[in-house]
Amino acid sequence: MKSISNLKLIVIFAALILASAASILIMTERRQDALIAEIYSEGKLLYTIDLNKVTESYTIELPHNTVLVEHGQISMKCADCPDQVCVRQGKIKNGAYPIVCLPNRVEIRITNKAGVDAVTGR
Amino acid sequence: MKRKIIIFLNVLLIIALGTSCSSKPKSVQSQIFAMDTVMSLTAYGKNSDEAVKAATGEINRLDKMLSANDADSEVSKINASSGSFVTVSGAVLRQIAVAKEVSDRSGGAFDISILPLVELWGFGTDKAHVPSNGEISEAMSKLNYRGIEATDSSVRIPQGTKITLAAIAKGYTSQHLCELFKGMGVSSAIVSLGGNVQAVGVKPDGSKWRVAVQDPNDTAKFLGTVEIADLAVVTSGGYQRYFEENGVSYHHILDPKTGRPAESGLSSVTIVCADGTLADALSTALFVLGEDGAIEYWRSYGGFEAILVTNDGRVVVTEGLKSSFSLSGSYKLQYAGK
Repeated sequence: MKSISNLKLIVIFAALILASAASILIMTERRQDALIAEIYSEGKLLYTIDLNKVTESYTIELPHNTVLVEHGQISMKCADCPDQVCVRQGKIKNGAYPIVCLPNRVEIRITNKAGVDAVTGR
Repeated sequence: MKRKIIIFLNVLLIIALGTSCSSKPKSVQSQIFAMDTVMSLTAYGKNSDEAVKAATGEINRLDKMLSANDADSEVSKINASSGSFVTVSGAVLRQIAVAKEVSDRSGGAFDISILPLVELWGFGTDKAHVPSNGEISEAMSKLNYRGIEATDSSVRIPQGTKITLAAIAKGYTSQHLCELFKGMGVSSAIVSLGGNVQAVGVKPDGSKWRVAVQDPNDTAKFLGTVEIADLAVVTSGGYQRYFEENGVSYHHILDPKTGRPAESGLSSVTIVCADGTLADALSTALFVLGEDGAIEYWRSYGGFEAILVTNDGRVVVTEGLKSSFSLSGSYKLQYAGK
């Protein structure tokens, strides 16, 4: 009787290990597929969006800016600032270059940076 | 025996779970809008919280001290008292010392007394426009970096002269922040002040920091990457800030010799150097000097490495970066030797 319960325990632990290994695999897989965009205002993180999970485009209204969120890309649709640098930059699809609206202190960045720690040249 | 197996399996499970959530060192990140740009600070390990907090305070303090647009700044006080000595902080003295060295060595390609020209062109304002030849000549007559005098506590600029530290202040700030981090016991950190990048030590995993250089012809792409430890990487490019008039674009890096946007045949200059202040001044100076002048400067004085992007599609890299720079764009790579 005792030996059977031990066998059961071994089976349970083996199943647990398999399940955890599988879930780790799935989680890392998911993480690789995510394209995370972050929207900051005054340096504070307001929104975190996985652009690859966006099925239908939508806009986010900020006090002075409108952000257009689409599948795999994000852009500043309009802004009430005079220079319109952020709007002219168009859509971004990677972390090479964040969209920054300096006058309104809004920043949109994609966190996947293709293995780099910083970008020089802004 | 079976109990032992169970314990062994338990240990395995804990290890598997433990490694899957890999124990990364604590990192603190902060984003600050200052000096007309967006800054990002990242520090790792112990004291990183306090260090980032202190750094934020320093950025705001320096921003107030160094802005030519703030009437209470030290720079504005120097400009308002042209002709007489003004007591200033060590931060201003250090930038003026580096500026003077780079001005002298570049034959005036870098000049902090350029403010009258910058104001005339109106860069960064909604009044940006192309001035007349007469206006440009008049503003150019006020340029006089040679007349700037500094003691160990004060500065005097010639009467009628006005200075701006815009081309060096971010570099000084990144240098200052990295020194602050080190002083507070932070051994791994990276700051990016609107593209002025400077790193403390190496990454927490012991590998070097990978800094991407933006492609001046397609800002969504990288030109290449450079691997650094304890260095500053600063880029000046005509693509960064500009305005358009009658279909022609005018970028913000003015050549003190012509009073107009520099046309030196370069589209960007990246400097890799241990001193952030020097790196910032050099990126502007070498952009104005052009390829030949830049390489000559590097050969004569050294102390830094450079990545020059030419308008004809070449990337000229000084040989000290041979092992740390890798090109990723479709440019022709050349190395410059001593």
